[in-house]
Amino acid sequence: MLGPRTASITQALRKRTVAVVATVLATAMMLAGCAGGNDNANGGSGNVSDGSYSTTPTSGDVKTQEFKPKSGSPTATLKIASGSENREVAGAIQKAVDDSKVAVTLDYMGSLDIMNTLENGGGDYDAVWPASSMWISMGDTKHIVKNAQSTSTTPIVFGIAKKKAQQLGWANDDGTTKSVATTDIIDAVQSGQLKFSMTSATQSNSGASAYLAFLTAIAKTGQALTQDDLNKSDVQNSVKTLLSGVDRSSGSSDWLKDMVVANPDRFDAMVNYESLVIQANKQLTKDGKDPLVAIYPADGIAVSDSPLGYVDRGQKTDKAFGEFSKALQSKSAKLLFEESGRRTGLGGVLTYADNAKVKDSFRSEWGINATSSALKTIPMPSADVITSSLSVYQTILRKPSWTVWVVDYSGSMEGQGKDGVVRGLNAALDPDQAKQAHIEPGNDDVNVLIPFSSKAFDPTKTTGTDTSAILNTGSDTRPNGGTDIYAGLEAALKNNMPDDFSKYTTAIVLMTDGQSQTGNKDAFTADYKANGHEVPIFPIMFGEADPSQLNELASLSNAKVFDGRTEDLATVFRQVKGYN
Amino acid sequence: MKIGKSKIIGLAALLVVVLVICGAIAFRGWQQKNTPTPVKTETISGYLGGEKISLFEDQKFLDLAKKNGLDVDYRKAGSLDMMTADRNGMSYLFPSSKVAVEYGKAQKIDTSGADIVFNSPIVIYTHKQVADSLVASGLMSQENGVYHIDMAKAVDAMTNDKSWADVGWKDGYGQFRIDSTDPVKSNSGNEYAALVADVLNGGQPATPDSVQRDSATIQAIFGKSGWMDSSSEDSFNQFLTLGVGSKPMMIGYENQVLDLAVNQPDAWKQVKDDIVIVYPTPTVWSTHMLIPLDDKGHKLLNLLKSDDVQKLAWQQHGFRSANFSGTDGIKRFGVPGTVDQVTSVTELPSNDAMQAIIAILQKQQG
Repeated sequence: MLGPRTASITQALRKRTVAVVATVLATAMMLAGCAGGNDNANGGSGNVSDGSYSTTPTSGDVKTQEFKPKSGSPTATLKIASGSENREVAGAIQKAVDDSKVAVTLDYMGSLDIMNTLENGGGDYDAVWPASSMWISMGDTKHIVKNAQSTSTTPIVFGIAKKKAQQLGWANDDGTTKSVATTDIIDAVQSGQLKFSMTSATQSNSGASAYLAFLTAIAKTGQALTQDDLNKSDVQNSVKTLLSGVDRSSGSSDWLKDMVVANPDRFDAMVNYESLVIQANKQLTKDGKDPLVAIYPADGIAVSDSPLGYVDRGQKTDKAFGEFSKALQSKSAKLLFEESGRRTGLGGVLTYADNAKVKDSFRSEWGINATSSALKTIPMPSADVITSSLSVYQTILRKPSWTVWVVDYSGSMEGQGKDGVVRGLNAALDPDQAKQAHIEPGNDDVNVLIPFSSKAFDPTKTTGTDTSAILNTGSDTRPNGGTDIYAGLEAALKNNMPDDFSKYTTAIVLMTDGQSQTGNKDAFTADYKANGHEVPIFPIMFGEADPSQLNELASLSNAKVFDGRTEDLATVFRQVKGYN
Repeated sequence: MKIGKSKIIGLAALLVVVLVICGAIAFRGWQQKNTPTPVKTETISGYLGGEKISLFEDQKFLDLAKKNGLDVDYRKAGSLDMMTADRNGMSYLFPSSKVAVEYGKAQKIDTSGADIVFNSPIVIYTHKQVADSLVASGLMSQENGVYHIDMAKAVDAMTNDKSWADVGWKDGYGQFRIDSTDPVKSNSGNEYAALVADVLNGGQPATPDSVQRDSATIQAIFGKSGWMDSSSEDSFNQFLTLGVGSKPMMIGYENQVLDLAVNQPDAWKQVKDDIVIVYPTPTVWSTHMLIPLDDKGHKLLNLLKSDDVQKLAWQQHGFRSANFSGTDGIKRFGVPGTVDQVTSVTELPSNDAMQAIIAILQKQQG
């Protein structure tokens, strides 16, 4: 439940979400010739306006989305493991559901999770829909994926605030851009002129694809990246310099876009799909803010091909899959994809370039270049080089993270709560366990554990891969006493932040199971604002935690709430770590 | 004797009744004769090379199979990959070459029942701008709308790390290369490796010795591509979807574009002015062979070799077969630049040499 005092950012975001969804829906309805207001296309966000839902400050939080045919009952329901960026094409999905009468349920997850799901036999999914074919090819070791077909394409680009891009000399006043090479971007980062946000390369396809394109462009061999290229110290140093420009990370491309849109004054630039730059710009323009200009690195970019493939576990939903998949390829669905900023033409171009609404998305004043000539696509490295590139990213090349774990050890945490926390800390920080999710600590990563009850306990700090001190404190600390999340957060903010913020991506993870006393709330809020570093606070909600208190913190810090009540805490801790 | 009117009517009525009854009986008999006796259908599954999926999903093929008591299912796998995949519950393996069958034999698969089902030449797919640039620079030639690529020149350019600009295509990113599927997993990539090995051996079929001698060059040529799909279907789809920047030139089967033209007319319309089919000089033939693993597999093999399926496979999916492609020319597909006769064909290297090629490329992948 969202409390009445919820910060304005949240409200603004909710409105935006509703507005975007409403536009997409309206379009879908017009095209389908349907009337009526069944709004099942917008999942949880649709009910935000009456406040009956949710624990989520942004649309990027909806983890599962159900689509049902507007009229009649569905002939079948497909469960699909999908990349988060498909939240943005809800209109096309709804249209395909209406036309095929096949209901779909999308579980949003990162590309690596989709790959792992396939490796493990596909779970209970009928289909997978990652952002790139490479995750299916790498994951489908059991040969269970059939009929994978690209639904649309979109390149991974830099979206840079127009003023910034002009300052850098990369954009003209009319939004058209100059040729910018990866080395130019590195120079801008090195001179402190450019910071950007980007999803984690080990958690999300947009981050992984951009990172592989950086490596390939920097190696400058004109061919696919090899293990030898990756081992070169000058290649590693350049990529490290480039990644030092990352000011916020995320496990989800869609959420990254929401984050930038929510605070455009703070974020100059993001690496993301062209389609999400378009979505961001629609919102920014509506808000009267400076739009982002799309920069297509001239020496190599990657393109997402968004394939939808059937997962054959012998469950016999292939017919329904065929119907849904076909409907998604229909002309009207393709038009909706393109209105959402995706390209559906073969060869990476637009099918409906002359359509007014499509033109309204692919705007040249946003630097959007819808021809295929802007796509200097890199040859993707081989699977083993991808795997080792991701490993080097996680352990060496990414910007180090500074994560403060503020964890509730009040009396009510005894038993289940504490068990969950201990498993969660191990899942996120024990190098062997964390490695399975590609979130293992690197040599320069800093982690701090601050247990709290009605006051903050002494912090335990570790630097590097040996996190055993934190894991020990986590399991040795006994739950006792009341709950004051603000005391824990104050301790994190006052005494446990880096001296030089520019060296780290910094985050506070707050885990609590109860409603907090609020005596220290105002003091903390004032201190947070005065601090000026806008460290994101990712609350993990458990037990009887008060959603309004946690939403408020997430809104204050432009972060998001994770729900540990409906999911295993170990899984949730792992996900949170993927955001930093 | 005068027969009364009423009697006539009565007789006529009787006659009608008799006729109707007889007719009904006769019709029922005819009907019974012409209704196929219900066949007990058995479900059959196996591993299938991706380029044949469109056939195996074709309702006409599935109906023919049903008539013969088979409910055909499949799992997609590369021709070589399938030889090491879990065969539990599988009744057939349907790779795209004799090499794969030999490879399977070496993996202790009983390949004694294997037989050739279709043929398809290996071709290269590219885009108009690339094709025309390469014709201008002499790496390719074009005559009456038919494009050929000189493989000796192409291999030479790759060996010497020529860039796309060097070979005439100014907009290309990085080095000249021809992408393929993973030669260790999938047949089309594997046959391309064979072609490269033959060229490096002066146009003679490669031998284990020549492969050893040329191993660094072969590895370097495949190293240019990096990511390689394990299925020709995925590879072709990405070629279509991602456009010229992503896969400027790609190895495939001739049937893939023919199949696209017949079965996805909308997609074909979008790309037909851009896609160019190039016949390598020389090329190799891919022989699609089915290995039955049990009785059901044998039944499927017989079905595939039947005239009905052979005709369907050619007319709807572009697989050449002795009986049909000869009499019913390739022009029927309306795909420009295709030829009825593929004249310049090289022999695949011996099995030993092919195993050597797989081994050196496997080693490269680590």
